[in-house]
Amino acid sequence: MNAILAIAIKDIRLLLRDRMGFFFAFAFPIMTAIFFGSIFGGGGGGGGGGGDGESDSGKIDLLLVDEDHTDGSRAFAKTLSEATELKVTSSPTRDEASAEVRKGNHTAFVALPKGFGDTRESMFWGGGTSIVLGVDPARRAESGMLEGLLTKYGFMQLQQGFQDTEVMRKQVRTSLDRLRTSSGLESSQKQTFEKFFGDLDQFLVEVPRGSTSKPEAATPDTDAPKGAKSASTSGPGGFQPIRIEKSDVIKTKDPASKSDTPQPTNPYSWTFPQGMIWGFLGCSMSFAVAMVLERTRGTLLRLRVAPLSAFQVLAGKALACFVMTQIIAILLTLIAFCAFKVRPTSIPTFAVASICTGICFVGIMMLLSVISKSERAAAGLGWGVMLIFSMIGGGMIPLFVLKGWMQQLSIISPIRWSILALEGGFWRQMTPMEMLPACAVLTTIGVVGFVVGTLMFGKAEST
Amino acid sequence: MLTLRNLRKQFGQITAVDDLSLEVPRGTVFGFLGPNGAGKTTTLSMAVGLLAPDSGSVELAGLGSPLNPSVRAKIGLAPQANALYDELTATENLTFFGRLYGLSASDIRSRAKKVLDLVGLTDRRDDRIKTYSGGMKRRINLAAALMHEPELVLLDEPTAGVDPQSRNAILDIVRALRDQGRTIVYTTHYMEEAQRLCDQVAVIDHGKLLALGTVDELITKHGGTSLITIGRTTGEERIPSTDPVAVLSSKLAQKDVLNVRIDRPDLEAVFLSLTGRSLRD
Repeated sequence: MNAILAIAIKDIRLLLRDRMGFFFAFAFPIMTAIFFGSIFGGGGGGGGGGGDGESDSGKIDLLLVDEDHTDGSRAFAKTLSEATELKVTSSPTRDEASAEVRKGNHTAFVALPKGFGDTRESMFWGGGTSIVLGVDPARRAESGMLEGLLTKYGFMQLQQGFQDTEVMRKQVRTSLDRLRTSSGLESSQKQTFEKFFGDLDQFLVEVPRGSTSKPEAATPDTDAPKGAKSASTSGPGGFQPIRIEKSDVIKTKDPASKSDTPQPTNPYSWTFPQGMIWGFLGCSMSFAVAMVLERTRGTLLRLRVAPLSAFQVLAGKALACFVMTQIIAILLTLIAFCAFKVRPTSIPTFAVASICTGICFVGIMMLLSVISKSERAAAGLGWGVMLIFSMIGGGMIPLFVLKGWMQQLSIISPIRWSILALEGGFWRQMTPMEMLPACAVLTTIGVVGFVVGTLMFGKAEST
Repeated sequence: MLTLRNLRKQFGQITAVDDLSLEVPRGTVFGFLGPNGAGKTTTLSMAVGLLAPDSGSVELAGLGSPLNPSVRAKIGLAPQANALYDELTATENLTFFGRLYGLSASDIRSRAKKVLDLVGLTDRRDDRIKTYSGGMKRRINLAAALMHEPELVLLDEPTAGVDPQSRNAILDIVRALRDQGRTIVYTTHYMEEAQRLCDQVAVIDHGKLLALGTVDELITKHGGTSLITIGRTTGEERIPSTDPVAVLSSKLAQKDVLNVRIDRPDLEAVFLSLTGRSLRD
């Protein structure tokens, strides 16, 4: 153990004295995190975890929860399913849907709450139709777009109702019934509305059916808003074709609390985990090159002549690399907290994620160092392979931008799992069980890399 | 101290070491003399357990094979390249190598001081290796091999590419080590060094052991005749002889002798005699 520690301390010392290695392990990740954090400040999304995000046709990936199970809710669900901009998947419960979005597996969820169908049938009276929308905080850019889309399809469905006199009459009668049983209105006001609804009902009876029964795909910007506007002023209950209630998929602290708990959706919350991954990358590349240098400069000879096994030599190097990754994670976390008031939502969960990610990068370092025969090969191969992994894993471009097949391919990228694990611990509020798949994949990559690297090292050095 | 028996090592079609057997006596400086590519470094690598021989065996002082880590702890190797960390100071390098051998902190301090004194680099102990000259790097490379006080020290071309002053310093260090009772295996392609330093010399070429013995034995056996040059008032007389003393005693009686020079054969001549080519070919 003493020898392993000696090798680890020596390697850490060497890394700290290597300006380029130090830059890529520390300075570059910090710069990256701050730079992208400032770009995304108050706005758009970051890497977007490891989720599906959008499909290859650019659809926003939406989970739909029908809690109402009425004709009205089914009709609206059908409208959303047929929307060209959305990829809708059903989810049985709101909690499950919220958890999936929180984990980054989907962009957002929409819940049609109980009573949705009823309110659709009395659009002229009451509080209007409500739906609940929860969006991944890393996809803020899509949040506004989603709200617009939901409003659009709300209007479209409403417009179809206006074009069918039977549906309209049903709406008027339902509204009339509710008006009669409602309290809080003066009798003169009630009489006015009763007269209006009665006249409207009579009007709808007299309207020739063929003149309005042909449904057309009207644009929400023309016909529907007019209807919405007139309806919205028709009674004291107000009218909204669809009212969107936001749901936080990330639980925030009680606002009444005096604590200055940082908001988890601060853009630095997702740029710092990404910065950590760049730090881990730089660190593992530096160690891979250093390992090759040991071979080419002859110092490895001394290590091998010393009374050490190949395992001890590599374990020392692995320990150094692992310790440095954790120092990077701690340093970036401290900077994130001190400078930007963001911190992991769960320190233990984040620590587990950081450890698993560190193990993964140690395994990668080990493999690269054994495969490469020269410093150039190690640096070139290492950065080449890792940049590809980074590209397909969401390290450079958010996953939801990628084509569907590329998103599928991203499961082979350790970067994807690293982002998922670090974000899971940093701001996605993942539970240990939710972290398990990512952590298991990362640890497996690390262990396999170390074992294969050790075997290859032993074989290469004995010939 | 070190016994090599029928060692053989091939790299593809090339036979680097071919049925090599020899024994290195304890407390001596044993030289491996041969041109570049003769198989010296490969033999050394097998002797320290870096390479496993294809056949044959290596045994150290009755302890067994150096493939065993505990046996390797008795060996110190100064590789041909300066196997040091340039970004670390001399003290940091020595401390690191000392820790690899399980030395305590106090042992490391005292031994680092001792070896730094031995190689004459105490004043530069806190400077990074990258600031050292080539000769200084060679000396600290040697010092690193001595930190754990090994019984057997293997020096692979320790003077290659250094200035004459540093070369003399290294040769002095090797003599000092021998005086301390260490066994030293010294590979070189400089015949002068082998001649000045080694108690026994093994001449190697193409992986084969061509000759083994003391320098005098090798010269006597393979070096051929000495050349006596006598300067006279009438000119020079050259006389080849295997017994120059006898020849001189008879020639010096003659009155017109102005000067005398005896060119004794050297290891270069031995190598030429054994292989038909020069060491520097």
